[in-house]
Amino acid sequence: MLPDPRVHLPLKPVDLELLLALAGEDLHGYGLVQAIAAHTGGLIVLDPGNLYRVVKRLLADGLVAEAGQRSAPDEGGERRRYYHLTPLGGRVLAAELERLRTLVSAPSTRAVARRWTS
Amino acid sequence: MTGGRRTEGGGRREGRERILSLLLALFPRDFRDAFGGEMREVFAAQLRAARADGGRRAAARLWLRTAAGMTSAAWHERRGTRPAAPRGAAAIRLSDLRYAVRRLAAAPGFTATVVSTLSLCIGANLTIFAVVDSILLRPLPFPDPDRLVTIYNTYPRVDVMDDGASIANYYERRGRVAALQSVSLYRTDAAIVGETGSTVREFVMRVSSEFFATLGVPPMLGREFHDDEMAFGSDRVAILTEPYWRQQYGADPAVVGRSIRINGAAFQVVGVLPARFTFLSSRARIFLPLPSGPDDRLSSRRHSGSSSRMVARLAPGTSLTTAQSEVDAQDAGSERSDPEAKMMADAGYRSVVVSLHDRHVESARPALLLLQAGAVTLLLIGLVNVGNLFLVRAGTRTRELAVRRAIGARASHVAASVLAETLLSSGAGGAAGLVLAMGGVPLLALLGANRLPLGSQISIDGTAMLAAVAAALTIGLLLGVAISVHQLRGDAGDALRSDGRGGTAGTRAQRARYTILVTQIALSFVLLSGAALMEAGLGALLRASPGFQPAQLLTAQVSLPYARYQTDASLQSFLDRLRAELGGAPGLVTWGVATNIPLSGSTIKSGATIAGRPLRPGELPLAAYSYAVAGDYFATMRIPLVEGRYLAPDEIGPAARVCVVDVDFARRAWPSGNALGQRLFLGGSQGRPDEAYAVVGVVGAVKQASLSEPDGAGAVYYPYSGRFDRSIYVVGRTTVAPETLVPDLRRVVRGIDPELPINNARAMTARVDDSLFAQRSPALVGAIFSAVALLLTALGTYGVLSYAVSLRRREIGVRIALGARPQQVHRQFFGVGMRLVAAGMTLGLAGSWVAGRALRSTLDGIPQAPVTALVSASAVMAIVCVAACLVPARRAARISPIDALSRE
Repeated sequence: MLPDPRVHLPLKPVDLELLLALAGEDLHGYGLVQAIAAHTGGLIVLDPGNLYRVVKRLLADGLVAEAGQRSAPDEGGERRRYYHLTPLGGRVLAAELERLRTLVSAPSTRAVARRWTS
Repeated sequence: MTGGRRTEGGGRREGRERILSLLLALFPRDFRDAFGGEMREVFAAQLRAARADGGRRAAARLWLRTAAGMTSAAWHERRGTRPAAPRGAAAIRLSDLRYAVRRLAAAPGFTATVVSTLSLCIGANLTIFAVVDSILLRPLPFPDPDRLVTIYNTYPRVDVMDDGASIANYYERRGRVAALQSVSLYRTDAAIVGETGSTVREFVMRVSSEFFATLGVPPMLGREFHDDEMAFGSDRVAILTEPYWRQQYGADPAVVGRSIRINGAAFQVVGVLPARFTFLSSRARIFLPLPSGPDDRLSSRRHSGSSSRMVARLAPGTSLTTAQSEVDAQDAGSERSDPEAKMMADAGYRSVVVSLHDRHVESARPALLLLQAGAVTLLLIGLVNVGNLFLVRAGTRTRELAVRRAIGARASHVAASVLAETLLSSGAGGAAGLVLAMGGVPLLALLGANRLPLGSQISIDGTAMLAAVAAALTIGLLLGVAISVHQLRGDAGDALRSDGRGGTAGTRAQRARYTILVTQIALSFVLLSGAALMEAGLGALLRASPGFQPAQLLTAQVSLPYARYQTDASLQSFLDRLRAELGGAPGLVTWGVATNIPLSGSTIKSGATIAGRPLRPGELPLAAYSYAVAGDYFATMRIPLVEGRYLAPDEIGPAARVCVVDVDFARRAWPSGNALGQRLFLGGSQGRPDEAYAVVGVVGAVKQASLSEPDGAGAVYYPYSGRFDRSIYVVGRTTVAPETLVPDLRRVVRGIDPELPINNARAMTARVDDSLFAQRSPALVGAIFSAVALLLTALGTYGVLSYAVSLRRREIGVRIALGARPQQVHRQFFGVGMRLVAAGMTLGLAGSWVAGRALRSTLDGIPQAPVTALVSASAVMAIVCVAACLVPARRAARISPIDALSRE
C-alpha cells in the first residue's frame, strides 16, 4: 500500500516551489535557485544555506532523490549533482495542488479576492 | 569544508573561499559534510550571474543577502538538529591509530626525538608536581583535615612573627571558644632513651591530653593521655609510634603497661599509635605528656609561648573567620586584666588562626611554585620543538596530504590521522615521563626536597598519575589540533602544482616556524637567565663572610638531663671534667662550649636592657641573640675581636658579671660609640645594680639564622657559668678533618657520664651547606632545566634553519651556478638565523625581568641589578645559537649546483 501523501500537507511555499521546479526536469542546485526565482518572478531567491535546508528536508521525507552526477551544459560542462522528484514527491505535489485548487475556487475565497483586489 | 573541487581561478577566489568557509562553519558538521561543496558551487554560480548582470553592486548585494540567509539558515538548522557526533579524539578510528603507528615506526629518528623530548619535559614537570602535590595539595592524613588549624601569637613590631602558643593560652582557650571543638598543645623535644650504657637520643613529642583526639586518630593499642598526667611528677607515661613498637618491641601486643627508661626515669607505655601515623614533619617516635605547673597556667604567662605550638579542630561548620573573631574577642577580654597588655599591643600582638596545613608548608610554597613555573616553561619549549618537528615533517608530507585530499579524504580524516600521531607520541612521552619522574623524585629528595615541610611524604600518587595522563592527552590534542589546522589551511592545489617547493603555503609555513623558533629562544632565555640569577644569588651568599671560620670546625650537641643535672654545680662539674679531658686531645687545637651556635637552626632572641636608660612609653627592649659561652669559644670560632677583650675561659661565679657584645648590638645600643664599660640587664626591664653585666669586649657579628640574614640583629655573649643551660654545643678547632674526631668526643663524653649521648655531631662546613639548601636546590634544579632548554633550543634552531636550507636547495644551486659566492649564501642563512636569535633574546630579556622580580621575592641573595648574570646568560645563549646556525649555513654554502639541480 502506498503511503498517504496527505501527511505531508500543507507544504511550505518554498517546498512547493522546489517540487514544482523538479516536476518538469531534474535540476542541480543552482538550476533549482534559477527555476524558483523565474517561477516566482524573483520573489523567492534562495541563498545556498536555505536551499539546502529545504533539499535536506525533502530528501529526508523521500519527496526528492539524488539523480547522480552529470555534466551541466550551462556551466561549461562541470559535473554537478542533480535532484529529481520521487513518485511520492509527485503524488504529494499533486495532492497539494488539488488542495490549493479547492481553496482558490471556493466561493468564500473568491469573494475575498474580488473584494480586496484593486 | 570539502575543498577538493575548484571551478575557477582568479585572485579573489582565496578571499571568497575564506569567507564562505566561515559561513559554512556555522552549520552543523554533518550538514556541512553533506552539502558544503554544493553550497560553494551554487554560490559561485550566483556570484558569476550577479557580476554578469549588475557588476560589483549586484555582487555586493548578493554577498550581504547570502551572509544573512546563511547565518539564519545555520541557526535554524542547528536548533533543529541534535548535537553533533563526538569529535576529535573520539572520532579517531582504529585504522587511524594503526596507520599512525606505521608512520611513526617508519621515521625512527623523528619519533625518538619527539618522544624523548616530550618524556624529558613531562618527566621534569611530574617530578616537581609530585613534590607540589605531596606538600601543597595533598590533604593531611587525618579525618576532616580541613578543620585542623593552628593558632600562634605574633608580635610583628618586634620582629617576632611566630611565637607559637603558651600553656596559659591553652588553658584559656580549652573549652572556652565555641568555634574550637578541641584544642591541644605540642612541643618537639629530644630525650635520652634506654638503659645505662646503651642510651640513644630519640626525637619525642610532648603533647597535651586531647592531642590525638584533636587529630582524630586514637591509639591502636591502649589509651590516650589523661588530664592528670599533664603535671610534673605524674607525667611518666608514653605512647609509642607503630614503627618504634615494631622495631623495639617486636610488635608485642602486650607492650601496654611495660616500662621504658626515658631521661633516666621509668615511664609506663600506655598506648601504641596506628601504622602510618605521622604528624606534619615530625620525626618523633615516642609521644610524652606536656607537663606544666600551676604557675605556667596563669594568664600572666600568656606571652611565654615560643617552644610549644597549638593545634585545634574547628567545630563542624565553623569557618576560620568565625574562629579568628572568637579568639580575638577572648584575647581582648583577657587583656583588660593584663598588666603587660600595653607593651604587647605596642609589639603588635595578635593570635592568628590559620589552616594547620597551609601554615606548615607556607615557607616552601613560593619556591615550589617557582620551580613548577620553570618546569612548565621547559615543557612549553619542548612542545614548541616537537611542534616544529611535526611542521617540518608536515612540509615533506604536503604532497601526500594534497593527494589524499584530492581523491576525497575529508578534513576530519586528515585531522584524525594527525591527532592519532600526536596522541600516540604524547602518550609514549607521558609514560616515559612518568618513569623518569619515578627516578626524579628520589633524586630531588637527595637534593634536599625531603627536608622541606612534609618532605618525607613526597611520592608519586594517584593525583600525579592522573596529572601525567591529563598532560599527555592535553599535549597530544594541542599539538594535533595546531598541526592539522596548519596543514588544512595550506592550499592543496598549490601543493600539487608547485612540486612541493615554496608557494604561498610554503611561505606561511616558514613564517610559522620562525615565529615558533623566536618564542622558543625567548622562553629558554628566560629559564637560562633565571638559573643564572639563582647561581649569582648563591654565589653572593657563599662569598659573604658568616663572621667566623667554618673550615676545620667540629660541632656537636650534648643534652644534660634534668634528672641528674639539677644544680648549677653539677653542670659546672661536667664542664670542668670536659675541660680536663679535652685539654690535650690530639687533633684538637682549641675548644669551647656555647648554648647556641651559628646556623644551629635556633633563632630565638632575648631582650636586653641598657642600665640607666629606662624604656620610654612605646619603646621596646632591644632584642638580640644571646649566647652563654665557655672555654675558648671566640678563638675556636675565630670571631674577630674589635675592642676590649674576649671572655676569659675561667670567668665564673657572681663576680663574673661581664659580657661581650657584637658590633651590631654595640651600634644599636650605643650609637655614639664607647660600648666598653657600659652595663646591661638581661630581659626587658631595669634590674638591681648587682645584676647588671659589664661590657668587656666588642666582637665581629656572625650570621645566626642563615647566610642571607641581613646585618644588624645583634648578639650578646655571657659567661656560661652565670647562665647555665642543659642543652649545649661543643665546638672544636681541629687540625684534621673534623668528622674524624667525633668518636673521640663521644668517648670523652661517655667517659664523664655513660648515659650521655652526643648528637648532631658535624663539621661546621656541613651546617653551612645545609643552611643554603633553600637556595642551592632551586638553583641546581634551575640549572638542569635551563641546560635541557638550551639543548632543545639548539636542536630547534638547527632544525628550522636546516629545513629552510633544504627547501631552497634548488634556488641556492642555481645561484651558485650563476656565480654567487658560497660566502654570500653562508652570510644570508647565518643572517636569518642571527636575526631570529636576536629577536628571541630581546623578547627573552623582557621575560627575564619579570622572572627576576619573582625570584627576588622568593629567594634570598638574588642581586638587584643582575648585569653579570644577564650578560653571561646572553653570552651562553648566543654561543649555543650561533653554533646551531653555523652548521646549516655552512651546509647551504657547500651545496653543489649539479647535485641540487639533478636531485629534483
